[in-house]
Amino acid sequence: MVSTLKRRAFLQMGAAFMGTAAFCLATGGRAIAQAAKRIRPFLRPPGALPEEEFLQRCIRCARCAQVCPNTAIRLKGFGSGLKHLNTPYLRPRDQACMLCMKCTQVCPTGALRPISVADETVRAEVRMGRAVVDKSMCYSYQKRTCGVCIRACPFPGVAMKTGLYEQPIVTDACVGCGLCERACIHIPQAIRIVPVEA
Amino acid sequence: MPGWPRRVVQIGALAFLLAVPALNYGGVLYQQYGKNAYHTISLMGTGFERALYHLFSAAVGFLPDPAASSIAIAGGFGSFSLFGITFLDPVVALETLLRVPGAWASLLAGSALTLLIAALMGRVFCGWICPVNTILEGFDALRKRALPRLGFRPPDVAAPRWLKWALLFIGLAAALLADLALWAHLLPHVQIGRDVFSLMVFGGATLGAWIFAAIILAELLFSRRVWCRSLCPTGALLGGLGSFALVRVHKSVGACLADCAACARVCPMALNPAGAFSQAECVNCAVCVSSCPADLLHLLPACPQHAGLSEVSPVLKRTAVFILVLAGMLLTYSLVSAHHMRGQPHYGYTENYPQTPTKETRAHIGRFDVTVVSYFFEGLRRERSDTPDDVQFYISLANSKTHQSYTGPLAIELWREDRRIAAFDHAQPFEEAVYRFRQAVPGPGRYELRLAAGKVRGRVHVEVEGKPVSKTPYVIGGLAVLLAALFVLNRRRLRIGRRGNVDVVPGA
Repeated sequence: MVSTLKRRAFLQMGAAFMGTAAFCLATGGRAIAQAAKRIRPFLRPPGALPEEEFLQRCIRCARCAQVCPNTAIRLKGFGSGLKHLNTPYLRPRDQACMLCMKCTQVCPTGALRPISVADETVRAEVRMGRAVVDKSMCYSYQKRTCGVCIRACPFPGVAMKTGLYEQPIVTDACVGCGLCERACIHIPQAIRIVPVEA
Repeated sequence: MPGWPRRVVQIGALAFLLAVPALNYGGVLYQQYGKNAYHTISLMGTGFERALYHLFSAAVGFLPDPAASSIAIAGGFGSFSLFGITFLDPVVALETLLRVPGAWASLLAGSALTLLIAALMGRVFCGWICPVNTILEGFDALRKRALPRLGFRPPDVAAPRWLKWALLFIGLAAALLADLALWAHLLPHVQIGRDVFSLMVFGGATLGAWIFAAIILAELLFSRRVWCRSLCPTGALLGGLGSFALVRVHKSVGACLADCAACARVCPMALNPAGAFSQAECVNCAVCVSSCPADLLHLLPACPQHAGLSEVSPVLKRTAVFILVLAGMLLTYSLVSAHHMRGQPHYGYTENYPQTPTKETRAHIGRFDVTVVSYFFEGLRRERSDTPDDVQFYISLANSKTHQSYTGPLAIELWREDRRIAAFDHAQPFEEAVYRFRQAVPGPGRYELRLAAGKVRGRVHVEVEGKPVSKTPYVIGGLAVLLAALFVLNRRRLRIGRRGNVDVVPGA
């Protein structure tokens, strides 16, 4: 296919692609930008730098885990290799982040960028991951009104909107704190956080 | 100079290691349960958590904002913050600097104080604070008395002292070339703080315990302080910085007693304090100072006579012991008495509802996130239960790419070591996306689930627990360390008592 492309057709396609991208970016279609973000292996605490730099800066001192008031931050063991040994991560199904930002303030090397606790800053700067709903499991999508996740969401109506039967609709404003995954009454959870790089 | 101020600092450093994570976790519980929640925590928390909550309430509860104060002090000897001042281990900082040069500002800010102390006071961290040295000093008695009595005389092989510089540069080279944080993972004084925290909160240690065991073994099999003399890269760096330290051991003008080598004999770093020695190797522990029968050695920069200090010291010492004992009594009292405060009955949530399923295991098989929920072995009380060995497993697989749950056929085999216990074939989930099976297993322990979901095969290790893991041993261990510390203080006093006829030892 590619070899039969004429030069003009190629240029036209390129222009069309650029145009679409520009249109999407200009109209605030952040879906493309979101899709381009890399998925992390684990859910990192708020304010974490991009994975590579995070692993370099983190000195594994565990202070973030020590001050976490929700005992949400855990330390990786040997299971994921030496690269991740003793690095902080969260398992939102066990304990989710309540966005107090204490971990970002005690990090000695800036592997977690300091972020203030104010609602607007948290909403603007925290991107730990993004909630993804499994519609085949979600009670609300089976027309059995549930709505637990939206009640757990720290930014209801902004990060998560609801449809009929309180069906959760996750928006781009989702910070990935995992409170919805923690709260989900379905076993296994019908809403999960996919860790992405901010 | 008497030896007790150093003991106090050493005990304080050990107590710091235990108390900081304990108070941090106490603060966490305080924030989770709220103020004066003694009743709630006795219903919902474990005994250990209850103790930490009481400890935190007693120690910090009177401050205006206890929750905020709980993070004022955090960390271990690798990195800790004290009311906003950060201390970083210089080796860890240097490694990180080589990996991320852009982080120089925060790294310099963190290690500035450490470096300044090293430049002014030499390896005072090694001699006065480092838990490795403190613990090895405990092993000195074993080395000197117990083992020779058993017929084993630990050797004193002199390993080359430049080895620690080589190790430091190997670590730095690994950071620069292979992007590896070698010493951040291996330094024992960095590990121990994180391990104490991991033990308290997650109930499991990491590498630190093994490194400590190796160091203690080397101490007994090679030479005294072989780690500190020849291997520790932090020691190398601090010593190098402190080569011209102001605080160092001085010898007054005066002749040594004939054939006396008391100072050289007690020196943990195998130096000769009475002669010329390299300040980079001295840990400023001042053991030699108190060992000198003629009182010729002094630690302070310029203090040939120190009559004032030795007169004051008994009073200070008694005051310090009094305050320590008082604090201990207060803490013990609040721990023991707190749950009687409101006349609450002795019962707990977990005792009344033992059937709560709590063990959840996660694993990855191919593209699937596997979750296994198992009920406790003997989930019900054995004497009342019909089938005490019956364990139920609930398995679910979620596709990490599509975020859909797997609902196809699943073959499950349950293995223990190399023995297959049971095999199940499920055509579809038991309900929704959950596969379930129950099986009588021989006992608590480590089991293996071998799963085959279509073409994807994999193994999941599942721990079947008999009882929740007890954290009591760690609390008892902590108390034992404190007791041992008090014992050491006391022993020191006894030795002062019989000083005159012991310390002047004629040379061999």
